[in-house]
Amino acid sequence: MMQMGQRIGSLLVLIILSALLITACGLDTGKNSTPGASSKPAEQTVDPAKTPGSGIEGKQVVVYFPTRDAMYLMPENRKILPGQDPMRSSIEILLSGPENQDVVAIAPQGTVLRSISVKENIAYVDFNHAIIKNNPGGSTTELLLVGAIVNTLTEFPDISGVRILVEGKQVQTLTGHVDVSGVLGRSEEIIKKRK
Amino acid sequence: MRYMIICCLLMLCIVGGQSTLAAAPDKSLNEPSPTVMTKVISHVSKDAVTGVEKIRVVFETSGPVKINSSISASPSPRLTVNVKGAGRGSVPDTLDFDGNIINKVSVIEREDGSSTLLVDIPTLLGDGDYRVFTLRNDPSANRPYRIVIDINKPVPPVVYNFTPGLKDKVIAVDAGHGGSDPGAIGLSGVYEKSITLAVAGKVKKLLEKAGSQVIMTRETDCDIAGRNASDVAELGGRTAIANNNKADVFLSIHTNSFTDRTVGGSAVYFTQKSMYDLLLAQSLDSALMQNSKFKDRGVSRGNLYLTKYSLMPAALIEMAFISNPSEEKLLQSPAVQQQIAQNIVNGLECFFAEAAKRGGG
Repeated sequence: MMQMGQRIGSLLVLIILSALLITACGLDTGKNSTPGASSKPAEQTVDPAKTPGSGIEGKQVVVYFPTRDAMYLMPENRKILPGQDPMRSSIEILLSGPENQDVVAIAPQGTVLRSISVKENIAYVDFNHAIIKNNPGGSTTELLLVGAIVNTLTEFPDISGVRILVEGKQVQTLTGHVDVSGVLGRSEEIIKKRK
Repeated sequence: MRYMIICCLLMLCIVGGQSTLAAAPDKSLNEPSPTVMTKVISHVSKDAVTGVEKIRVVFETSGPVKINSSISASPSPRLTVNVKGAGRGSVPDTLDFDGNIINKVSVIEREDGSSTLLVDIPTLLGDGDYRVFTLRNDPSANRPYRIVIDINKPVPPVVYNFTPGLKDKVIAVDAGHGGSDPGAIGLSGVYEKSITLAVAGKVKKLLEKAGSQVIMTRETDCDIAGRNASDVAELGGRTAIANNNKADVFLSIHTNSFTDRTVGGSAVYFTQKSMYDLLLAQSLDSALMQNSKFKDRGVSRGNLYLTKYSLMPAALIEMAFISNPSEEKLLQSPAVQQQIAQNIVNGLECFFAEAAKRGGG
């Protein structure tokens, strides 16, 4: 027979775990999230308080845009509505452009997010053909676009790398400069350092 | 997420009286215990923008720690990280890696409850090649305190026996885009592919005059791999021409583009396959600034197909921004094109002179 003290202890653990469970719900990035992803290898170097999904509300995401001089990417914190999928929303914000005047929109006109899914900590982000067809070209634009997509998605603690798809297919390049054939990792070097 | 549910279900079973282990996690939550390392995770990733390969090793700790790190060259290259305030805990004392960026990590526990991480690396690291830092815990995201070690893959120690001068050098010159791919298009309708072909032709003439053998990826307005070939066949076709001809250097000539039409300037991109790639990019960039109409955006590491998959030192030159109307106009001027071509050739000459000094021969 189980002792009373032990039973109370167990109940306490249950309560604590339930609280953790509720908290963890705020982290859920949608039905495509990988189970057990909290053991994700690549950590973020950003302030955890600014990490998307932090806390129960999970209504803020971080989206990267190029600086006006096309030298760097800068993060922009954006609020999303309750119930919106944070990962999908962050890419949609990336496609629609920034609020901050120090940065500019980078996604080619008409680019649509077809789908986004996560497998083993890799985000598979699928765009329509406009991302190639309406792309103005240039190495700088392509590097900043790819960097903005990858850095926006790797803001999510569950995401360690990104694979870019176009019309459901894996592509090697968008406009003939950047090698996007493999899993792309976060770029810290392209982020503008705060003074 | 899902494992949290499983945990709760498990706890429900325990409450039901199936196990006496239930008190253990409860106890650890209530009684402070010495800080230890609880877990180690490593992950290799490639920087999407620079193409640099990096390993991240994360030691999770049960509480906050203080760290300091140092690099030593002998007896073998090693990064030492002193961890004040955490014992080895459940982390193994030796962690083996593939030797690509890290050979081995040894975890040594000190008597005072601190530990030392000995990270054995294949080659000595520069200050910019590694970073060691701590992250505080984030209970709302269920994340513990962490020690993070980031190490970039070292530049492979390739040595070329370059001689100074341009005579008898094999130079592969790629006029960017072409045929069905116009590249970037200026506001007045000028195609990148036309500008790159014009400048590449001028580079060829100057190099041949200096005694080099020039391999052009294209000499007309054409696709390299055929009209309907994939983008990667098109790019692979270009690197294959350079690789199959055993070129000493591969240059790809482009014009840049950006949404903000006021942005301008020259830039040189490279992929760090060896120390020569950076040297080539720097030589070209400083030569391009001679009598230049364009401001200098400098050299950058880029995760670019052409510079990555060419076997020799390579650079991608973005001469100026075709999206900037005044630069678009300048790029069409034969005099400006001639100046850029001359600067590129001068840059190559500087490269071979400096590369010969660095030697290997």
